[in-house]
Amino acid sequence: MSKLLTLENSLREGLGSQRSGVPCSLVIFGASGDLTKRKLVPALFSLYQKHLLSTSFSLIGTSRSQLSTDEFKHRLKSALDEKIPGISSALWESFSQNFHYLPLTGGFNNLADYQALSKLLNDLDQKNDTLGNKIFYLSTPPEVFEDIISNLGRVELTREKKGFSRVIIEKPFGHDLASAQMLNQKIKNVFNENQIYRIDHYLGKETVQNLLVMRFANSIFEPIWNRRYIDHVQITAAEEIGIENRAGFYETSGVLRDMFQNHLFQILCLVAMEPPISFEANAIRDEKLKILKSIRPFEEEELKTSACRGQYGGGYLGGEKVVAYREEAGVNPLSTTPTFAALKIYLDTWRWVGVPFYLRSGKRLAKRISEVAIQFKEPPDLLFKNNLQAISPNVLVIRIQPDEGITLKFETKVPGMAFEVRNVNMDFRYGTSFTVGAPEAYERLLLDCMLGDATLFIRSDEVEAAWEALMPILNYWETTSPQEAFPNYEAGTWGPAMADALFVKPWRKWRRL
Amino acid sequence: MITSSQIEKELLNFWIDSENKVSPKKSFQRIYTTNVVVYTSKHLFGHYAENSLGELSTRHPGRYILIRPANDLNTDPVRFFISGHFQIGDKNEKRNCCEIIKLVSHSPILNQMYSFASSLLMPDLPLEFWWIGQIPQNDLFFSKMSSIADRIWVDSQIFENPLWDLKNFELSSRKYNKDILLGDLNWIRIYRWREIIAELFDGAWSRYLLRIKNITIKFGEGFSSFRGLLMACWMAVNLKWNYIGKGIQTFPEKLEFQSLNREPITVYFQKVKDSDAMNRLYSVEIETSEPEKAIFQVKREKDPQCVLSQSIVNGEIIFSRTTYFEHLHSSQLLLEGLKRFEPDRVFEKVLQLIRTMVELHE
Repeated sequence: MSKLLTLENSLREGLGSQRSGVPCSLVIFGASGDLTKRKLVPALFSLYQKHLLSTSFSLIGTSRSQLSTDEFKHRLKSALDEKIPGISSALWESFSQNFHYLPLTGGFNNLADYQALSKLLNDLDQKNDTLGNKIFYLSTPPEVFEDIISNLGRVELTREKKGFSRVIIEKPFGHDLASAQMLNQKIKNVFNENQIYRIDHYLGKETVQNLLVMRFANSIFEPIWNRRYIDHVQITAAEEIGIENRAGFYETSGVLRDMFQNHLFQILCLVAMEPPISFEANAIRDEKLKILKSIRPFEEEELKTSACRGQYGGGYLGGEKVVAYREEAGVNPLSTTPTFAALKIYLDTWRWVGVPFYLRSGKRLAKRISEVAIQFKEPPDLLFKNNLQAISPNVLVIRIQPDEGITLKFETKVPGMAFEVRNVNMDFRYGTSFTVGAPEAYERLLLDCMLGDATLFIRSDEVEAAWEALMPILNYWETTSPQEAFPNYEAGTWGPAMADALFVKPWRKWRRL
Repeated sequence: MITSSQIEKELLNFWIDSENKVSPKKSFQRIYTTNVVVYTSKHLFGHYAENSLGELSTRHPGRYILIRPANDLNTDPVRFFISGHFQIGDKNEKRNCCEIIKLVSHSPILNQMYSFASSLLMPDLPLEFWWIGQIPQNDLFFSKMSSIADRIWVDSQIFENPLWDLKNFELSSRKYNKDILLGDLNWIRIYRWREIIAELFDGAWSRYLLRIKNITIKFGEGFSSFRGLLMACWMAVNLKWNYIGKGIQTFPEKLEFQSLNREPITVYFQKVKDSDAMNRLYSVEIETSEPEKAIFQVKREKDPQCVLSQSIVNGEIIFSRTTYFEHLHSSQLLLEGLKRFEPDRVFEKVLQLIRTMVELHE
């Protein structure tokens, strides 16, 4: 990561917490929502426990809910207790001593609310010495992004007169290319690109970051990381859960917008990109952008063989009956929103030409698992062809969740007189090889934002390039009926059978996970 | 005669048997991330080392080799004992396991067992060498194992003369291996205190670091306050203070330094009535000079696992935090130490400062 932190506090030297957060105020818009309780506050608490949160840190929660600061804190404490039982009141008091709540009196577009926020930030700056540093976290529906950002601009909270002013934006970054461009433009009217942190929590996961280390810190992988040795790549992000309470959002987005435009394409970039010239944010983002731009545009005819969509029907998961997507609360009973998609992508680069990248993601699949599998080409079938079954190709699997780690599958001789070959796994697991647990993604990303390190955040041109690549499929799917009537896969399975048809070569097939 | 091959074979059989008996449905996977060789020539420490390794091996997969004196009348020159530990993961298909190999002998054979211990190391993995005892002038095992180890660990808490031993720690270890990393469990004991103190000077508060005038370190009456000395040296090293006091031979009541802007700084060590058997620090109070007089303090509360840190400026409490942490046992201290595998430059500078203080006396 970039060395953006210059510590004045020389006592930190040599401590594990050397990369600790700088003084700042964090303002969360939509603070009464789920994300604050489930992810943001637990992440802040963990940073606090690790002494990575500055002593001059303040949190301001704001939303339309009319709460007092005490009520706000009480809600956060209750939610945190569920996640981390046994937090004493003294510990909570010292953690939350600089927490405040500011209810919005007129929705997200009342200037007076922003003036009050500005005053509160000034007061806290005086009291806590936050050096004028502030971060605005938009944990709200995207419809109100524009109101929040323009009002922050009107009260000059976006200006960096004293200290920094940064904004963290949660996905979705637009609904399509046009809306993403419009959103980017509106944000850039008040913030500079270097003040904007578009968060994709997948990038905060340790294994995703380890992809870069694995590729560029090990000399054995890079020479074979190309079309000459790799047959194809599979990227899977499978979810067990359905849409939970997000019918409103999901009905208008579907799996492509929810998973592919951001998470899967970002992983694709890290797997396929060229070595960056440095480990600086923009150097890495420049390389990722090249990959997104190299995605071969989908022709309409190709879409029938290169893209597959699905929607779950009822079924069983973990022995329990689950309803079909169309029976979920808030979902149109005739909905054609895809909950599963599989794509075959080609990258038109010197390194990857001719190598298919298979991406799949879906809801209500058999289990929750995210991984990247690099399948190498088969060895020449000369030496063992007379006395053996087919030799399996080597596979390098990078597991993102759960049970983060790396597995290499290779062939070995079975002990005995016969000449029998079988594949075995060589396993590396984060959980067992290191005694320290990986930090939660939000923990990492919040700290990075405090430190001004944008490496794991997405730049506007990346967002737009990802939309551009996806638009032909979105347009096609939104204007045509599915090849198979929905629902076309049973909950608890691995998606529609027609996803197998993306593989043309007989030796290629979806990995059994 | 016992050979390393014999031990490896016994281990293999041991795991095959265990897998069949204990966990027939789940396979075992032997995992090693490091080699840890522990040596002690004293019975008392032998038992302590065994307990520590037993706990450590359940948390950190490694090849553990303990060399300790026999505590019975058996006259065999060398005996070995193996024990295995496995971690039960919730969802893991495999159970991860590692083992402790205990080599028992009588002196003078004991300190000749370096080659036997070396033959049991897992290749290519880092070698951590934990020496339990005083720093020796000339010891065969110490010299041979130091020459191949990546890091040597000691515990200055058990030194009879910590000033003298720490003064010699670096010289004695690096005489045989100039690249060896140095670790002290006592230094890790004060890690959290260091972190809490450092935190008080983040951001704008760092301006007070240049105005530190006095530091008072309190510790329980009847105990060694060597941790307090390490703490004072840590601050001196990180804040680049010069030592201007006299040479020390025994534990001092105060230390005198000069800051970067040539202001005098005095560190006082005070005993308080405190019956904490763990020999923990009681408080560290940092006082700055006028005009904006500030006190930064970290103080143990009644609950010994709870410390209160506060920043007080002109009599007003500006920041207050309560932190809980458990007393760490040796195995946990070593575990903390194993997490980081890079030179601890600050600790090395602390050792150099201690050496300067002692040599001034000499």
